Amino acid sequence: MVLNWGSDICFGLAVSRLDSTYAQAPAESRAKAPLAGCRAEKGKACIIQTTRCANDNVNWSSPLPLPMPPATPAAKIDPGVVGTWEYPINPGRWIWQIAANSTYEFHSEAADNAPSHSGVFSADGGRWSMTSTSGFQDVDGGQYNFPSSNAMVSTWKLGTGKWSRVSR
Amino acid sequence: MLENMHMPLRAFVTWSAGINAAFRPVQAAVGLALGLAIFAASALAQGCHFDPNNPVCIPDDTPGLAGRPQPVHWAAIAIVGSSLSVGASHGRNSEAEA
Repeated sequence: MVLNWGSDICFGLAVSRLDSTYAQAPAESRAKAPLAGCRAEKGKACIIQTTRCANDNVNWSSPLPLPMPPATPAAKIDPGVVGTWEYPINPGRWIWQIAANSTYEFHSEAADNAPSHSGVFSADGGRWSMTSTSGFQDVDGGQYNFPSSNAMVSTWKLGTGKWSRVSR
Repeated sequence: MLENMHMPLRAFVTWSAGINAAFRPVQAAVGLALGLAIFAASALAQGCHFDPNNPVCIPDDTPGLAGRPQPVHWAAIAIVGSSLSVGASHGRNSEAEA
């Protein structure tokens, strides 16, 4: 069932699988996702499933907005990990945005069909962890270190990789 | 001088053009420059643009290189109500494609 369509606009879709509830909303920006609409429909476990903007690059998955910070943020987040990082995928890259309020957003700008997700994040003392709350459901974590000021080497479930800083 | 003020236009032009035949190329050049300036000013005033290698001033509401509209992109979202499986598209060039 087609819920909505349009040009030069964004759409957000929130679902609550626990009680088969969902809500969609058009918006001018990705940030205005319809979580409130899902909860208004009595959804008890609403998550943002996808946010699509008409002018997103057709070649890869749309990103998700950074989620609302958790009610109880991680006790510590290493300021060195905060920022936007890229990991080379030939051809293309993965983008990992880590916020100081213990949230993150991951999306791929490569033709690898890696799904977007966002959620809560923590990093301290060389160990990091994340749990997605929107998009692809994922839990991951590992170790990290900084070989230089604009590089971060992290281990995760599937291996080890060197991330390059895009911005702080 | 006072007589010149009452000089008929034809006589004035004849008189001024005949001042010195050596100035005629200068007069022609000044006239040409003035004409081009007036043409360019009127083109700006009426809202038109010049495409490369095309001397014609194209009205701004006519599609051309400078006035080409921005591409329109489309997005759509769909869901299977029973399973909450989501389908979506973005960056499409037409409503039908989305």
